[in-house]
Amino acid sequence: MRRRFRLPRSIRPTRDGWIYVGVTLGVGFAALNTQNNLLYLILGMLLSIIMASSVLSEMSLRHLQVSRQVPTRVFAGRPFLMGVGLKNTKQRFPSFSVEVEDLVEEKPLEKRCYFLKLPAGRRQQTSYRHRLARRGTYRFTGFRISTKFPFSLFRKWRDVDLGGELVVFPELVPVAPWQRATPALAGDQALPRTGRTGDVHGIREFRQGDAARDIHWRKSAIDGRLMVREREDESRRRALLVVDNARPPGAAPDSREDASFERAVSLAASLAAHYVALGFAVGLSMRGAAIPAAHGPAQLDRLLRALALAGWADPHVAHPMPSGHTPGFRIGRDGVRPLEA
Amino acid sequence: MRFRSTHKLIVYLLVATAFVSLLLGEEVPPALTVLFSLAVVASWFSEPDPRTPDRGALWWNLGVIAALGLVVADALRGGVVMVGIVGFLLMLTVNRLFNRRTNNEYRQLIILSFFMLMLGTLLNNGLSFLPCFLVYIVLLTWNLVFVHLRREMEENYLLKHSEAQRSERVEVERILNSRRVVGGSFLGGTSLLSLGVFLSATVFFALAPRIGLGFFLGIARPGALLAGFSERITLGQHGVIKDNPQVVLRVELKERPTAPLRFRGAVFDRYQAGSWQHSLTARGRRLPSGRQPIGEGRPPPWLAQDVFLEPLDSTILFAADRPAAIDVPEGGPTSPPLDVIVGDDGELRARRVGAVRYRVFSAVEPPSDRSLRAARGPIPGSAGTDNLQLPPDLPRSVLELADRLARGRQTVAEKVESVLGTLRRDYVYSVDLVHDPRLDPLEEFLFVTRRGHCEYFSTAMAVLLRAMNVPARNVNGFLGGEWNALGGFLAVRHGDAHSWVEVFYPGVGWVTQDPTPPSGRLAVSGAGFATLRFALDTLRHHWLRWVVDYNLEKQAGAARALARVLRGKPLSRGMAGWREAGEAIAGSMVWLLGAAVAAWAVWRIQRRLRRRRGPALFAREAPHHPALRAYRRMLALLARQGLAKRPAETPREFAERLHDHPGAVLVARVTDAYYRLRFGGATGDPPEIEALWADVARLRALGTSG
Repeated sequence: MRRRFRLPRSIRPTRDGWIYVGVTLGVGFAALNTQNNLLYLILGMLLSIIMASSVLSEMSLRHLQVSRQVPTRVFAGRPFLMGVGLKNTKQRFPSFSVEVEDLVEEKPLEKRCYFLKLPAGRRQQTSYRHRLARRGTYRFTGFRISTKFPFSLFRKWRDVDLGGELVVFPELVPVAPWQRATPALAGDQALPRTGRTGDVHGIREFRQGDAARDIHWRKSAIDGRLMVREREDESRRRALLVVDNARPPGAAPDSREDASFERAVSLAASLAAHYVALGFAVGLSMRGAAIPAAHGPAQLDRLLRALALAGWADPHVAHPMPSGHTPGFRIGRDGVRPLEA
Repeated sequence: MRFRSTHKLIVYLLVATAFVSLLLGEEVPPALTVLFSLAVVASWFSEPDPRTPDRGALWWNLGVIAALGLVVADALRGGVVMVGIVGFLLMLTVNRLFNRRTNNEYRQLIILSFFMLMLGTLLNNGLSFLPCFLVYIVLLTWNLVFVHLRREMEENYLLKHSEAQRSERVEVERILNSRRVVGGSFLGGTSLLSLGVFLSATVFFALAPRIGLGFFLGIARPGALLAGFSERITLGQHGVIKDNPQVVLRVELKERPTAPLRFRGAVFDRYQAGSWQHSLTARGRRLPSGRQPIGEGRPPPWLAQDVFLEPLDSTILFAADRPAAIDVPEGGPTSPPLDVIVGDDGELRARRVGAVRYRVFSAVEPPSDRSLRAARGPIPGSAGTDNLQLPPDLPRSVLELADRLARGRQTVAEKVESVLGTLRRDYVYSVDLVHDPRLDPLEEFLFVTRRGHCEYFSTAMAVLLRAMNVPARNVNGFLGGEWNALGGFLAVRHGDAHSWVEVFYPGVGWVTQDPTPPSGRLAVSGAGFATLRFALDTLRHHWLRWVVDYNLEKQAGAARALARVLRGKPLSRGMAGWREAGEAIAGSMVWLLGAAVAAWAVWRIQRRLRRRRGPALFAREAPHHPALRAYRRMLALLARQGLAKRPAETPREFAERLHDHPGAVLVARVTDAYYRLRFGGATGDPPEIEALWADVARLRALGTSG
């Protein structure tokens, strides 16, 4: 409803604009009072400048296309760069002094991307740095394109609809030393340590999270891109993260239980990132969600996404657990424990 | 052009323009003008560093407070408040000019210049305000845009975009010294914007209702008074300066007059000790509004005159000799009535401030010689009471001369001819006079020097006739004027001031007689630049008529004229002025449009030339570089051969990939040249560019043959 009745343009005087309007009113009063025709001329000039400002700002705002380049992974509490592209689709006129602001749930984010001059038919790209405190889904509804061009007297803006979604992953926290190398994870296999011993299964392109030590430098030099060795034994290492998301009885929103649950989710995400980076097949089990163990960056994205969206579940909902012994961690409001314990 | 230096230049020009608008009002004392001008020049060379603390701020602030104190003290002592305000404003401006460190000072200078312009409207309502106002609009537009851009650059430019680090501000100095932010086309574009602002301001000016509130004070603009015309005649002083080109009257007539017109002004009846005075004012009567007869009820035909009288240090209204009627305006809601008083001698006066406009009618056809010769009879009391007065200490020699000239002459006409003949024959017109204070000035003129200007001649004639018992009076006014064919009006200048005599003929009335020899009557108009002078005077006339004097009545008249035009009806005679105004506006629009088209054409040509020359100042860096064009051409040729450059490939890598291509050497050479010209700082001399294109052409030939 709000969007439907939105005005095509909004305008608000800046601080200088209010002063200007005050001066204009003063000159108008002086002209009326004294009948000095030259003051009418000056009044006409002042009002014409306002009109010119309106026309030029409109020219600047028209025929602009905005696009958003969402970063692949955004973690709560960590700064990220959101790419914003602006294209001037006008035939002749450039756009000057344009600011673009992301709208989250129709509210501006207060992070402006500034374009000094955008020639006709050209596209420019910039980004803004931002930090989102909480994990979860953020819905971008569009952009606010604004300008104070040409005189800084008025800020004129229009909102452009461009939906988008950003899932902010849980905040990553340092993983404790015992969690990095718990014997429970080893099972009948050796833990990955310095100089991992598995046979080379093949060579693949480098993915985020791959260890630098696995980079195959020679192949990388030949191909002109980073390549890493893939080992057979990676497929045999597994870790299961069991997150206890049962709603405690009487838990109120923003209560202490909520905070401890957030910590648990952060820990689970951190462990997932740690073990995926080590080449483990990592799985996740929560009430209402289960992700089978798998390797690689795509799996990490799946895990982080599930954790980003994790919420309290009814304690009666079954906790899906794999059959047989699976090493891993149980993460709850009371901390992290090895799974078999 | 660098952003910083351009910004500095235009803000100085803005301040200078506003100051000139103030200066042309001739109210700023010369000492203040000189001091301010010197300070402005000195401040140009002062470049305060914004990064260092402002140590002189305290002294500047103390100076400003002291200046304010002086203004207040001067006002309390009864000094001219306006001059004090102007001085204080100039002091503030100098302060900001010397301390222009940041964008903020530039913004303050815009505000100060605006206040100067506002004061200019009070002190200078002449035509000179118009060019100042036009230039000011252009400079104001530039300055506002510059201040905006500078602020936006200072606030928004970010250097680093990395997730790990906070974004850093780009060094502002580097941007301010950039040549790429603004250029000629930018300033040209904003000038066109200024043209739009001016036109829009004009439309607003015409349409804004002139409803006077009149709160606080009935502030009236006195205008610049013209010195020179006097309501007194005192012999022995300097004569009228005949080459004074200042226009006093602009008289709109239906057509160019065939003979020089005499514009009657002050009438003098009392002569005492070499000085003429007026004694009939007390007997004047106030005229009601509407068309009112003046004088002796002279019958038509009348000459209608629309008179535009400049501000003058006098209450006299002028009309062509002999005035018969005047249209006394009623006064509207915004304009006070013109309070016209007519004396028994037909002298017109009005209580007025500043320039006025009125319509007057005159019977310019003189009575025939025959009727004058036949004029005989007694002198009525109304004519004789005051107009036969002679001072008791009039030198005896003057009376004897009158007796001698009247000997054997019976009628008024004969006596007048005798006096006129003697004065024109035996006396010489001259303004180069040296007066002996021991002598009576009239006696000195008649018997010693025998030289004088018009006031000597008219005084001599009036006194001699009175001594012959013929009623006569002295009249001051203007004679002639210059017909301005462009504006269709008679421009009467200060140098046209003249003095003559009115003689009473029984049965006929008062008749004008001019004893001054013809050589001394008419002012010599400037020969050179007549067209330019006419054009400027026409502009000034229209400025006063349609701008300074614009009021609710004119607005209503314009609305009526527009309504008639829209209904397809011709304009009535009374609306002829609006036709002229419409034509003038249409003409101005054509000129402005022409100027805009010419500016656009110049801009296009300049842009084309600039493109040919290579990289330009304003954001035309890479895409038009000849090296880039040649390289792109080569890429297109190779792409047609199936050898497209990959997006991530650098030019060098691409050239290396084509090492087994038949034109590999050419590709390598073009690539080298491209690197050198685009990034290596090479200037790209024409031979080098030609060689580059020659290689591209060879490559094309190779592709065709292959």
